[in-house]
Amino acid sequence: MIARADRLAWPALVMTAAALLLGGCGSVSDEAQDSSLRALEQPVPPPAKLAAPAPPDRCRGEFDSLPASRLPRPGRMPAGSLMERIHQRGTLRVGVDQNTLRLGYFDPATRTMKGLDIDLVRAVARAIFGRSKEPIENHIVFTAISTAQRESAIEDEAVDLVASAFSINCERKDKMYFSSVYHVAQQKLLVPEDSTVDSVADLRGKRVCATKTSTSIDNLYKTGVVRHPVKLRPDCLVELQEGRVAAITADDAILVGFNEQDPQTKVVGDCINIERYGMAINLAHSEFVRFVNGVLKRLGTDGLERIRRRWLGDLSAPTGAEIARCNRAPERLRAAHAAEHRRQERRVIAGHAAWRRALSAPAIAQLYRCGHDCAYGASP
Amino acid sequence: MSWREVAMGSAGTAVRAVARGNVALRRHLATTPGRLRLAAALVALTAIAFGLVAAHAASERRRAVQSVAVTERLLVSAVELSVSLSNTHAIAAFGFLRGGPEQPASRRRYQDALQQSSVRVAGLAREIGTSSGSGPAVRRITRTLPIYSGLIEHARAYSRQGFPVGNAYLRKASTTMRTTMLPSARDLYAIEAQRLTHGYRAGVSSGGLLKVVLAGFALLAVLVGTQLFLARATRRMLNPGLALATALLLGLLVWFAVAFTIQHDALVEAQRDGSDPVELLTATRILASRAQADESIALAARGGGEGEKRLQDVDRGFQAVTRPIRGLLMQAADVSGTSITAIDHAYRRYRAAHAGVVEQVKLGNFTAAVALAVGPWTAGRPPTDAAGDALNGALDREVGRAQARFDAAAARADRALNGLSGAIAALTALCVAAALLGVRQRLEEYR
Repeated sequence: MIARADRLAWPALVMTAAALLLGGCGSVSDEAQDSSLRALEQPVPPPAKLAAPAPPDRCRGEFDSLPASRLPRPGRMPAGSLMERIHQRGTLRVGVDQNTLRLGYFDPATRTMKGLDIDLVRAVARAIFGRSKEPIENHIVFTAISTAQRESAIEDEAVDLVASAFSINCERKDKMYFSSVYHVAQQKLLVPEDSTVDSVADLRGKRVCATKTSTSIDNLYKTGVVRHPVKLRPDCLVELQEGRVAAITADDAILVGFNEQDPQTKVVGDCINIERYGMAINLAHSEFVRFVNGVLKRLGTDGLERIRRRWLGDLSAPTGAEIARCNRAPERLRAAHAAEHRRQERRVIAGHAAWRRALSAPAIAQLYRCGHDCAYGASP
Repeated sequence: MSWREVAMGSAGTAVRAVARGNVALRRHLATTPGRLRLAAALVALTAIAFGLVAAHAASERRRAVQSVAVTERLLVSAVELSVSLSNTHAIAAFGFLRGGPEQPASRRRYQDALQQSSVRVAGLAREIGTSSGSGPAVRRITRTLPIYSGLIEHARAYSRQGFPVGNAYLRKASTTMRTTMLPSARDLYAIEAQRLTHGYRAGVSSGGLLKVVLAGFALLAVLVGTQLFLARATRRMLNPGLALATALLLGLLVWFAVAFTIQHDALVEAQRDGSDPVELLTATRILASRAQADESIALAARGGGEGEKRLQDVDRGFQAVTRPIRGLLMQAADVSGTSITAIDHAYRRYRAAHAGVVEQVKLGNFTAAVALAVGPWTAGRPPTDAAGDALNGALDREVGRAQARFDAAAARADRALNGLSGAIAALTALCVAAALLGVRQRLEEYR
């Protein structure tokens, strides 16, 4: 009977062990989950970097362009020129901003591009393709580019021409051609209607919004304000409306557009900088620069003024005296900030010294000796 | 004397023996009745220990199986939330994209999608309760959703006036969606996925079973030892009580092994054929709906994009999002024999439609691009929104199938453990009773 009990037990033991082993055969794995989670990982864009601006006026004749050429008849472009290629292609490719009311914007109601820049582009297209029954827009391909894309769009020849409130400056002229100046703007401030801010000096330590890689943001370098860069121009208006910035700085031509979209704002302050707009063209196509300059010349001062009035209304171009006054304003702002900074530093140092004196051993010993009277000025 | 008194008596005797000192105890234990009492106490204690270990192991298993089922449902809810957020955004952006007067139909679609998103986030908040690590992610989404919809309404109001700042609000909404809401939904997904893995680990770990088997063998050894001792002392080969106890124990062990094996296999199957393909396919689904939102945003920005440095980069977001899709689909097919033919076909169609749009975008031809994205079918080829819907439908169908497989297998795993806890209590008690009865019979002979 002992043997029988044993005989009963052992098969069961074997069975249990086998079940254990069997159970260990199939198993769970994390593979599917790992790849699912890895696939959903989202790359985080790096934070915006702000570089110091190039030293100003490092070249002379900054705003000069190539001389205007005599305009050929439409459809008779010189052989081998970019204009001929454009004519053959049938479309002029232009980089514009679609977000800046009055300069270049997409009107959703009519689904067309409008603005001062757009009218000039139209004039250039008309000079290439001539006047015909079909609208000139059929010969223009508008590509919306951000402020930061303006340089690369030209360098990559993704577009033939950039017309997007593009300020001419020396540094940019190393990378591309600019047409002659077609508009002179003043950099100013836009603040909420009830704001007391009147100048950059009032904004020390406060956030001021400007578009990334714009001259406006460069001009604020080391002026004591906290620069708040955004990608596209109207993003600044959003930041102001949401109360994240105390002011926006940009060219007056842009700011009047903001003011129109939000009447609870006002344009204030002296001119921060003079900005001269030109259309940008790839360095390989000087003939196209001359051609565009020819178009601008044919439009003449009156023609340009008409377009300007149409889009900017009463906003007058700065007079010679205003330009002279505004010249080197960013440096003056920086100098003023540096002076203020030094003053503050001196005040802080003086404060430190006063504390050190107050806490020095003889002073404390004296305080012990004469107590209240001594501390409050009565001599012992 | 009942078996209970025997147990009490033997325990009492032992205590008294300790009180009288080691010598008396040793003297008592040297006698056969003393040894029998000791054996009976040992049997009872070992059996109770075994019962506790087994009950613990069984309930732990059951909890693991149930938590796997619950977590998987939460995972699917997280996916649905993520998808419906992306979807809301894609619809909003496409609404602005069309331009011209706002279409009532597209407004309604947006409102429906937004409502669905908020219903889902509320539902998820209720489901996860307060005890889970997903709370912060859900709260982040709950907090941000009204802000997001506010930004969209701003965008709408400005766009109706033809003001470009409307576009800036749309972009802001887009940023909110892409930097806060979608990552939070992804966190939620990741947390639930990891909990699912823990559940599977606990559900198939051999630790519990090993403990049960060891405790079982210990009890078996005690029972067999007692029988051997009785057989030698009384020259009776079989003690019916002890033999019955041994048989009950062996039966319980076999039940255990069988139940655990069935449950283990069912759970492994639930993962392989159910939740693994669900995870892979839903990850694809999330990426696909994000790609659709990305495309509509890129188009609404009309090339301005999210501030990419170069125009050629406008498609970068889409590329980054869709890159892992093929790998995920292949893996889903490999892992479980999920049929991806229909999905693959829909995906290829969608890619082709998208490529057409991108081509037009790169040429700067936005009107044509928008027509290819949201317009009518051209030459038998769908616009991207219809192709995207088809892809989503194909994915959803396959996810549904995998989900059904998961539910079936998880239910099987749960059923396998049915009655085990009751059986442990009943059979262990019977085992103790039988053993003590068997020992009592012999003890009576020494009166």
